[in-house]
Amino acid sequence: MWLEKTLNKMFFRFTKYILLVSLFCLLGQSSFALQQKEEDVILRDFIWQKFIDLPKSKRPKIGVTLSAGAMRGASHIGVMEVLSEAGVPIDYMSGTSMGCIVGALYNAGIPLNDLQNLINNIKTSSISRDFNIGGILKYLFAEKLFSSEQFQEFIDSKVGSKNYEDLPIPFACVSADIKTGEKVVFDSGPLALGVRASMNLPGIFEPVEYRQRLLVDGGIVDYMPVDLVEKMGADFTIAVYALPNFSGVMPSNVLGYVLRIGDLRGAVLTEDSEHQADFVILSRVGEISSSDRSKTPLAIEIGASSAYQELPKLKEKLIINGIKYVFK
Amino acid sequence: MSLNNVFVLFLCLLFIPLQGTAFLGLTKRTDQKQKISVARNAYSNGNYEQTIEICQDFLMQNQEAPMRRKRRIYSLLGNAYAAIGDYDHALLTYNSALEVLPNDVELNLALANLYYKTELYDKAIEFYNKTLNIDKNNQQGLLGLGRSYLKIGFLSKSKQYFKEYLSLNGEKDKNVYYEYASANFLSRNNNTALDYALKAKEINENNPDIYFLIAKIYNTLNAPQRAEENINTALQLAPDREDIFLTSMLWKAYDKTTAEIALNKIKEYQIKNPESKLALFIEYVALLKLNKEGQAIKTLRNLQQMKGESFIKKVTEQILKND
Repeated sequence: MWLEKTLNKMFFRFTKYILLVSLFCLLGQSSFALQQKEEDVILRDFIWQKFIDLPKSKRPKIGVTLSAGAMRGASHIGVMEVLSEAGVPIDYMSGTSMGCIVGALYNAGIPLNDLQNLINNIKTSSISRDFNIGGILKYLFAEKLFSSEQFQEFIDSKVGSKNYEDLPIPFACVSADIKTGEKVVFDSGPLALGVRASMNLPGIFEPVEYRQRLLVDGGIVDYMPVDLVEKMGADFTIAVYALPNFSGVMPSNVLGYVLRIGDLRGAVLTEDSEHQADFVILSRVGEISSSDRSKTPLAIEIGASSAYQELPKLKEKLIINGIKYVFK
Repeated sequence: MSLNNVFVLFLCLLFIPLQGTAFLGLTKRTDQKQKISVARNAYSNGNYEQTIEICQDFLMQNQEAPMRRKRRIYSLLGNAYAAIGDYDHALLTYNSALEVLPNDVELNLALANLYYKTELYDKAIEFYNKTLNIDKNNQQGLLGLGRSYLKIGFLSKSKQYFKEYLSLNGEKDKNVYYEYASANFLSRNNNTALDYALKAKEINENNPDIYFLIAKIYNTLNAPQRAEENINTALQLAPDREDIFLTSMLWKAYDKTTAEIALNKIKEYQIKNPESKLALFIEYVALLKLNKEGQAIKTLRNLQQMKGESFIKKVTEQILKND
């Protein structure tokens, strides 16, 4: 009995001390962790400024790839704004479908604010002159696909008939040859033609005839062309993926179903591209339907917020990659 | 009894219940008004629990109360829940109120502010936008959007709404200058950032954060002397702020002409803070700039041995790997 009491007493006394020591360690660790985080931020901000001030020849070359994703792909505008505001140097760019549209217009010098307005207010008549009753009747009864020629003219009018070679950042986009299934890369010649071919949705638009090829949306062969910026010479690649959410949003019309097929194929293709890239920004726009044009402002907002959340990690990875250029 | 008298009597009998109803209605109205007044007083005096009780009673007993009175009660109830930190109930209250009164500016704004406070910025943006859809020049709505977009990093929108707020508000709310300057600094519009940071300084000469921001802007603009003046003032105002001190030392260490000063000061700091990895890194930078490469590498190796994962350690390991 006495022994039991003594043991109980000792047990409680020890437990009390163990608890106190644990609490002390826990408090110590948390305040230490906070201080460490602050110290990291100070150094990161300092080196980042040095890094972005380096001349192009004295830092790693950075390539940015924008995925396909139809209306979800409007989120790329938000991502590009965050990268641009943070001063991330961009040396090469590539894109597919909506990624190609945003990349081309950004690269052609359209300010991001104007680009937002342009994408938010794009009219169906700017995409196809067949988007009218006559065109729809032809589509339904004569099985004649819509022409996307109007879209090429629209892009041309916005970029001032530029060629790929005229762009300040070397740029390439992807299209697919429906005859052979081959991936066709546009990195020279008229910019608007490549952009049109890259977003030319099969089953909706008639294929673009170009040099014996019949070109359709590049999303079916390369949804997120990371390899293109690598081939151009990028030492560090950033892939931007407008993430779909298949179970969250169900297609509600023909266009939605056609886009869903592309997205499903894209999800398989992007697995490789994600591994290939040095850094991936996932825009969490899954709740936005690929065919919902009214949601582009929200997609842009989500793109910006997703990129901003990833920005500290991106800066750290870039700094580690280029530290030898800052501290010699 | 003449026919006329019978008619008058009939009219009197007819009006008694009507008068009674009117009287009861009047009493109820007075009672509701009184309850609102009591709830408001309780809220103003910081008696939030009491406010909640009164408001809940009111809503239970006065389901047919006019919308304007219900709005006041919902507003008080939501505010009282928010004041005691019961955000779940506050959100529920505002949302329930908005089901009845979807176009109420005050309720939309209160809900947006609460979402902002609970860091649900996308929802805050949704309700600030609703506020502006109802009242396009609502200043709190514009300010809320400026702040929310700043938090999610959509800087062009943040600047746009801050600018609209400032243009409507003129010179009245100069505290917003600092936030607008910060948004511009983050998006590397350094000249605008400087303009507004200096304006912010004029009205608040004792705020170390403003001087720190000005110093950072000058440093980015390659004006080291002005950067130093301002960071020194920030340190005088807040001598315990280690973030300001360490930033100042890092700048000095990276500059050959001041590296020696940084080295001495950081060694003093290390005596009190031996666990600081950044202090060791600053020592490395200063030694490197003073062409003492051997000692610099030795410092990095010491840093490498320190416990814990951090970005500073990753940088250290990469430099040593490259070396």
